[in-house]
Amino acid sequence: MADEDFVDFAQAASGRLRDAAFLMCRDWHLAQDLTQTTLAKVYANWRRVRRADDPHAYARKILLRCVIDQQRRRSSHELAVPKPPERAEEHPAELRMTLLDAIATLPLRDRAIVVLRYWDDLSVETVAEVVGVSTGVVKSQSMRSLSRLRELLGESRLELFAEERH
Amino acid sequence: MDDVRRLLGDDLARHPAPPLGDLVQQAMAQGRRLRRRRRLARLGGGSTLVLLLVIGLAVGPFDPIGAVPGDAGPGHAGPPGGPGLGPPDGPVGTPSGPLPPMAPGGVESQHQLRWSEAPANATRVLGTVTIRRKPVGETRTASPEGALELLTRLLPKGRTSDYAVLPGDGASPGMPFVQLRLDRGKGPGVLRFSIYQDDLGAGPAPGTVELTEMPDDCVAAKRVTVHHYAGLQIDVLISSCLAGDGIGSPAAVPALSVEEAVEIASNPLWGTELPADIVAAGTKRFSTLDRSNG
Repeated sequence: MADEDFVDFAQAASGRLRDAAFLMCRDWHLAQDLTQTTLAKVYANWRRVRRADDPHAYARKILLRCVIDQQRRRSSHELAVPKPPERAEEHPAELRMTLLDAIATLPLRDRAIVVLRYWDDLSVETVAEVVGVSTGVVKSQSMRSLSRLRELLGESRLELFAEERH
Repeated sequence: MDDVRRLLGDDLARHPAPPLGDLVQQAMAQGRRLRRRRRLARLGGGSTLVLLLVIGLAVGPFDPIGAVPGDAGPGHAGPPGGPGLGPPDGPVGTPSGPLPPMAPGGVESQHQLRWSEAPANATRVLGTVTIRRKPVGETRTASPEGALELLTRLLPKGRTSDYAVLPGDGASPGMPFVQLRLDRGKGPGVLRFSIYQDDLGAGPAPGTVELTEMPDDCVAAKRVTVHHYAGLQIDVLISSCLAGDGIGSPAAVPALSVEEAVEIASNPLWGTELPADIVAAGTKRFSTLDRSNG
């Protein structure tokens, strides 16, 4: 019965967890590994997790720890964003800086806040709990990160909106 | 906020994700291993409160069951079960005293949501053994008493005592974790034994023998693991001390050699089901064996 509950939970959560992991690490294979590790840890503690108020938030907490652990293990800066590309009129979609690129320039904690807050649509309180900071930090860092992203995206972002209006 | 989510969605759409495949099943298999390693580490590493309850009985000298000449030789673990199986000889003696309790470990609460990793230990494959076919016959779910009964029949000649059931984190029925002391004439040594089965087929090939050495953990100084069919895994933990916390505890002579542990753990009788007569004998023999609620 507990296994069935977990399978239901995992099947519902795995896609979103993997997306969140990808947004933080930009590598699908790594995201897959991190998601599997996360779900394994959830499963290992499932009897407690299933009684928790929000198992999904718990899973995200573990995922974030996995991402942090993974980054610590790898001393290289593989997550660093490439330099913003020069613009080229013939292939604007491939060469312009994407939001994903821009997010990758943020420190991991800020990246996590952005992903949890704006992609996973978690409340400020839940993000604070998952990341382990105060709600004030979540709010201030969210605003700061968005400002930084706007700055990085610059005209690219405007162009995207322009495309959507067509 | 919606703008950000939409842009992220667009970016994700430009990076197609590979299929999830059997990620959930793999995660469950990994989780079981993690749970099991944690269980072993806790019990072996002394980070958990272990309620060691002793039955007040100790078994006197006995012959290892089925000690067929030319097979293992005297003083070694007997061969796999079969006609030689029977109750141990020898009188029932007096207990040599309860094992000291292990140091209490941190208790996870629902709100703290912490998890602990098993320590990184050096596990290596020693080789493979042939796992013989399980004898046919009536079986019952492996109980701690049944496991102790079979274990004591398979052990080399010596005095066993201080039987205890150890708590298992997440262990299912038929997967007992037990402990006893064995004195082969050079002083008692502590042995721990567990039956575990993970039927997802993610483990090593049947017959694979692994040795995990934990130099910093005298209670589980050596762990011998024999992988059977269908994900069955038998562990024998050989302690090099007597106390559970591994700190300042008296040193002890290892009760078994690695080879002896391999021979015991590769016995085909082991499983989440044990022969009914073994379970019945264990229930009778260890009738006062208390259980931890761990």
